[in-house]
Amino acid sequence: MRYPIQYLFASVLLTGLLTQPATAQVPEYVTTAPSADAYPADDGLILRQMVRVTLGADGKVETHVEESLKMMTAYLTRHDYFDPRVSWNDARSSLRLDQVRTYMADGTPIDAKDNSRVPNTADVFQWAVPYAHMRQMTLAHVGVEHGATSATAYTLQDRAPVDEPFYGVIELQSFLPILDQWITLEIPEGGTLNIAGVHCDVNVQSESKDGKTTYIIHRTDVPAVNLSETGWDHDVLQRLVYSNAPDWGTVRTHLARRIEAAAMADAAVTAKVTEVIDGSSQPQEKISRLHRFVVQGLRTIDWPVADFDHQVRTAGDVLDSSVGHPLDKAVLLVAMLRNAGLEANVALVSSDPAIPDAVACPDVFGQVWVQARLGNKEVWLDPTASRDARNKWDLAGLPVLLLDPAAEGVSRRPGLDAEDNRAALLAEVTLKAGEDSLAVSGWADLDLAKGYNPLVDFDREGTRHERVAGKVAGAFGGADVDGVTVARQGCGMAAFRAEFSGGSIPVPEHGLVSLRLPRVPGALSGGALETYRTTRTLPLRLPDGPVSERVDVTLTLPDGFEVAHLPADLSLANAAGSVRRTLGVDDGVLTASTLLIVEQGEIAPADYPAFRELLDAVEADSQSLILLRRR
Amino acid sequence: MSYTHTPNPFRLAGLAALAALALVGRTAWAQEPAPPANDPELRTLIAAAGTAEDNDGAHLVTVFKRTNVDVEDTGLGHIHNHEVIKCLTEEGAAQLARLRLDFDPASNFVEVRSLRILRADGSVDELPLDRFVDLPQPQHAIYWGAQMKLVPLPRLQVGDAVEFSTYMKGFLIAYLDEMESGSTGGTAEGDERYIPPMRGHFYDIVYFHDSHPVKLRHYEVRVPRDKPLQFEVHNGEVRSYVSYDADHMVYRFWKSDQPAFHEEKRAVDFPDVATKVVMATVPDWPAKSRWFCVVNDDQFESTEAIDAKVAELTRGLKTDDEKIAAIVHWSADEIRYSGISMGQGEGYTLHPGSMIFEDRSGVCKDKAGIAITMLRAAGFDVFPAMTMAGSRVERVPADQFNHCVVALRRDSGEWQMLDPTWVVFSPELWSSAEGEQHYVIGTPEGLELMQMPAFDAADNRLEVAATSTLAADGTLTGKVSFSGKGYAAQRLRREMVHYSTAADRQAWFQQAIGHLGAGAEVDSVRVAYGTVRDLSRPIRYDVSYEVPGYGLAGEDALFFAPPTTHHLVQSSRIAPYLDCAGAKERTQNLLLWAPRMRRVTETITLPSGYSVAHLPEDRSIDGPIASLTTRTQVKGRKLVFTYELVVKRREIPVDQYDNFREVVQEALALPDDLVILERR
Repeated sequence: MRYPIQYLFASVLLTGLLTQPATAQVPEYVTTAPSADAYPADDGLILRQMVRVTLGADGKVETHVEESLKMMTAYLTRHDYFDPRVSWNDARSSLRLDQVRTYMADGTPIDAKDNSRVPNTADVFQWAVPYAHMRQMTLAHVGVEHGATSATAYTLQDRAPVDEPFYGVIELQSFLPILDQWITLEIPEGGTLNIAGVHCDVNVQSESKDGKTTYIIHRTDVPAVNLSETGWDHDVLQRLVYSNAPDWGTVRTHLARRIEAAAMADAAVTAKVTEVIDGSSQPQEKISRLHRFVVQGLRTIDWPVADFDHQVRTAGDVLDSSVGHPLDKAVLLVAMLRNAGLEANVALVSSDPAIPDAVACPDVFGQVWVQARLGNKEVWLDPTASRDARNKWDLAGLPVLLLDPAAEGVSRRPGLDAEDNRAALLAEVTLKAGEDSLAVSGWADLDLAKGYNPLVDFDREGTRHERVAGKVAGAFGGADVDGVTVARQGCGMAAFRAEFSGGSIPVPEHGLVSLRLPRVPGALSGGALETYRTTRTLPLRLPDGPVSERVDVTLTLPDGFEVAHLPADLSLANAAGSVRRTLGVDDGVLTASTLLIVEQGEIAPADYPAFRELLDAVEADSQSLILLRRR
Repeated sequence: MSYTHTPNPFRLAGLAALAALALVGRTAWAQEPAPPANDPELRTLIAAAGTAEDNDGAHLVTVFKRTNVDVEDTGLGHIHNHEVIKCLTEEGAAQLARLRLDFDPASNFVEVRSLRILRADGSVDELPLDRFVDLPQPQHAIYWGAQMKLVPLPRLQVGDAVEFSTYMKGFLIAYLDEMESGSTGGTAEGDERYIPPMRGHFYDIVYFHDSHPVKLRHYEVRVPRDKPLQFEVHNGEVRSYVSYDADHMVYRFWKSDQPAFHEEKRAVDFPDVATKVVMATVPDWPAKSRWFCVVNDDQFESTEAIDAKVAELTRGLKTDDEKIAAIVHWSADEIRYSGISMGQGEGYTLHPGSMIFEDRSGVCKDKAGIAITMLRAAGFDVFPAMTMAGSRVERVPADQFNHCVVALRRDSGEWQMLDPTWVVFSPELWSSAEGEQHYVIGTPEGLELMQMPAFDAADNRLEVAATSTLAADGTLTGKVSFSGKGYAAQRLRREMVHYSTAADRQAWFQQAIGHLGAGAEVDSVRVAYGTVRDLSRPIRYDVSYEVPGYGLAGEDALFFAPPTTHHLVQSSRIAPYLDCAGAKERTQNLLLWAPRMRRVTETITLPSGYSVAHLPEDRSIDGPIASLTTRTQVKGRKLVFTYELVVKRREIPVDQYDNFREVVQEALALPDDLVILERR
């Protein structure tokens, strides 16, 4: 179970607290809360956050959450922070709503009435009748104004003992400061609970009495995290992970048993497999067709599988419903692959490389993949995305829990290194002067390895190279591709030559023409990575890990033109990597060679200026523009 | 700011409309497609709907959709739909994982009456009708408890078709069922809550497009003989036929072979483009106006607390304009946009002022409601008004509104329109993004449909003023200020508080200056929240920066573009025109919401030892919808660049898109036209 700030709830029981007259005293933490002036760089404050998760002796779990949020800017009201959405698995839990109150700026308390507790449905579940038990409630606080504080409290209770180990993940940070934080975990005395922090050390106090063992983490003044830097990726947040499962083997066995029972092909699945792979004899093509069917032919319900307690439906049910969450789609894909005679298993993957190995908690895995095997070769399939978009290179360095009974515990996929994770562009281009434009033609050899390879999927049509080649050719004055010769095609590398012509670069009256040195397809992009930011407080994770990009261009200059500006030769090496560039003109032929190497897949804040310097060295106009001038 | 309005002459007498339509429809009967009489005929239609290849790669095709509506004297409509959708691809099967029928339990009833799958192999699956779930609709910001009925479908094969019929009564919008609690007018027991709030009247807006191809859309409505419908066809052609018997008028509309509707980038809203018939039995807009006034007039009672707040807000203010502004801006800033339901009457009834005041939350109508309550408490003559943000209101007086605002009658009798929803962080009282918008004010005497005047681009001006110095090594140092008027000013403020966290405001400036090139460094810009909220003073952001290597050094020359040609503010919220002129042609008008102007003045100090060898060409393009003017001059060691881009209207018609595109493309190309300095 996860307990992020966006709450989890169970079906609703309302206590008298909700409707009582608003005569309650204003708590001290509200009256003594700092003013906005003391936190000019924050939109609000989480004055108090309390999470208490209890495993009862009866095997049921109860979760109690309290949070008080003070409004300082309209960012919070604009983005619905005072209408928190509570999502819960109604098949498992029920909810008691303890408090939905606002203390207005002058301290006047105002409690939410019936119309503020709004049953809702998360967008993705409007498509998914099979998941109608995944419920949501919006708690619309009333009385919120500048300086007001909301106070929300609720309790989740299991309806019955659950056949699950006791585990979960609790986020310990937010984009707002947390002034007072209490996390309490409670289990029957005599049990063992493994607890660890992710991206932090946690100080756990424990005591045993009255038949219970209680673990308490109390923190104050937890600093805010600037999540804007990461596109609101919560992987960077400090988290608390706990589990009473003794080891990963126990968790794997528990989940694998469930999945194996579901991943059986019934008659409908068998018929669909026959239909989909009809006419293909290549195992790779069968995998590709079945994968494509599961990706495109079933709607993905993009919701954390942990919230479903990793429950799955049978492959037949998933197919019949035409919808599935990632784990359900993985079950169907495994069933179809196995039915086609291929070996396949489900794997859980963490997008954050940092997971606590010693705490066997499956909720740390946010992604679901399928590993198919062709002899000794592994084919990694994301059941929600095409293989061109998502493939094994996206797993580099990540923790994986393979739900294969024969597998060991958590493993880590091999990382990438800059030497192998590379792209190269070798181009020979001719410019010919026309009356008011330069005609462009030539060829380009592209070697796109590993993370750069946009053509990983099996392709009988063979038309996709032209699309990639077209983008490369388009950079040469909008040239068209005349032909593509494929030298090598596979998951590890796509290598091909594109011949192009018909490009045209206008020559203005003053005769000055600017050309930008080309880059490889999928090149590291300062725009995408927001390198306009001059500093960072959080690590920057590169989409494809460590990389190297090499570009060699030979440019035959047009008659009657001379070079007006060339970027200077450069040899730069720093903590993040290196850039080496040489340019020269000889007898009307310009040669340019650039090699960018980034050694780290994750750039620490301290190394970010160095990384930025590298990208600037290949992207700045002064480093990448060539000016030609009519003589 | 106040506006004088001329009543819109949109009014069409029902009988005149009927006469005109009879002419249109007189020979139509011969072509009117009949519903399939049996399964073989239905199979023929399904086969004729074709394959994905026949339908431009579509995943689904609607074989037909037929709607029959029976309208009672009360205005209650009984709506029978019969629809067949064919699955053309596996993705189409995923899209048809379920049927969704929306309803509002407060005023609306819906049920599935038949459901079956006609398989491509000739078999038929009859599906049970009790296999559905009722769930709340996904709701964001408006929490009125709307529901949806989800009906799961078993896996479809390519070529299969789903046939279903539904029955619905009432309205999808929660109207005002406390209205007129007298005779039920022959309505079945228990149907009272489904009767439309404007009792005795019926309206509908029927669309003939869908996101996939539609082979036939047919609509028939039967109304009591004494309730003739006014109707009008928009955005295309629709066949029609009008007939009658002793008790009823019957109107039929149909259209065949509609391609899939694809929205173009920044297009006007669907109702302004899609083929539709707008119909209503309401005689005219004044009737609608009177009704809207009556149903809401009890909602604006003040309380002691509200009176006290009004006194506090207006204390020391001398003029009416100041008092109005204070109340409207308080309603804008302190009533959070979050709409909880007040139950009975939710929809077009504004919440009571006392409720909104206590809740400090509501949607547009509630923000309007508290403003009206407070303005009345302050002694002003104020009424609610319905309007349509983002698309036209056609002249037939059917409900075509999605927004609620405030109309204040000045002593002169002129109406001043106020919108507390759209002027958050804006000193305006009516947003410049709401020019040319239609509205109907609810008054006891009844008013016509009216329209806001168009705004002037200069009143929505983004101002960029820059000074910079270029060094001989190409390093550029400079200062630039961003300010604005009208909608541009509001957007500049909202960039800091709605689209950026307080901790990340600096990144906005880094991104702006980042357009000058990689490696730009920006000094810290302090933007205090209090400054952004203070509407009494214009907003202005001053930025200092340095960009190494901005100028390209040649052997004896230096090349650069005036920095502001890089359009430092490119946010689509402030400069949407920059990112929507790529397409060579359009079939749908483009909507920018407000006319826009970008005015730039920049002075660049040139490095000593250089003289100007070439200046960028001055541009002057002026067309009906957009213009561009640039000028580059040398004054001693300084280079002065001025630039003005104007988009003259909020909406770019298709036939004027060429002019718009030329202006924007030319503007985007400005950085390519370099200044050349030569070493002396």
